Amino acid sequence: MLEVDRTEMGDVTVVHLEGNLDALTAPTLKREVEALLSAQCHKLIFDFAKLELIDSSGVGAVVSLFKRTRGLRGDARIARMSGQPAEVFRLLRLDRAFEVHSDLEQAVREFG
Amino acid sequence: MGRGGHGTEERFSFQVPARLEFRDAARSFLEFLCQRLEERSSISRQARHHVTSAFVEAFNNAVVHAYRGLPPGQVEVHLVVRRQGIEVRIIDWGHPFEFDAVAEPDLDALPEGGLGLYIIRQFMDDVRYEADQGRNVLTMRKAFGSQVSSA
Repeated sequence: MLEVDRTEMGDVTVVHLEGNLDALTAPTLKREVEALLSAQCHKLIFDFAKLELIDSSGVGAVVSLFKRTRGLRGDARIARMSGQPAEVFRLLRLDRAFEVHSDLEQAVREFG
Repeated sequence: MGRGGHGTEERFSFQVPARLEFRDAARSFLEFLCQRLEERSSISRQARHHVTSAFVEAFNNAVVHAYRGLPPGQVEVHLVVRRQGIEVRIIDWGHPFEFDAVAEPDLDALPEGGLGLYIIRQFMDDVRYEADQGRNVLTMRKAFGSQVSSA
């Protein structure tokens, strides 16, 4: 199960993920974010505060959306990552590829 | 659900349909075991995440790759808790794969796929695969107190 909500904070869109981002739910996230990109929302923060689990398919979806957003001269960042997702991101060195923030407000402020 | 034990060893086994929606039910039992181990200070929170991640990837591989193009089969899960660590064994009856031929991903290239086996190998201490008489067996062990070998 994955719930995807979003909050607009100025020109930054925060995408809140709750539950599991995996082979079953990755298409949901891709669909939601593709709709945002089509609506010219190119400053994205994935809020992982309530993300319990991510698998390699979920990672693939986030990386794919990251590349798509960068391709549109935007950026995608990650906030409030912990637990199992943080372990997976660290292993795959994605915590270096992405800008990762422990604080959501700071992430929004620093988007510039 | 089967349960057995030999001295300080505890064994559990069960079968579920090879469908992704059953993976989290199977994972819940593994999480329950790991939580108990964490309460006994046998396993760290970090190691719990490693075991969970490896289990999820192994189950995914059985469902998505092994049974590709075949009628839906079963996934059998065996969990063994020993004094020195936990063993997770995933068995399917689908297509075998060339375990040793799977290359490591180039992480600098930000790959979008081909990461499952890498996660399993890195997060677990010992990983063995055996294809024998139509049965594919992936055995993964995590020693208590171990760290990721190379990240």
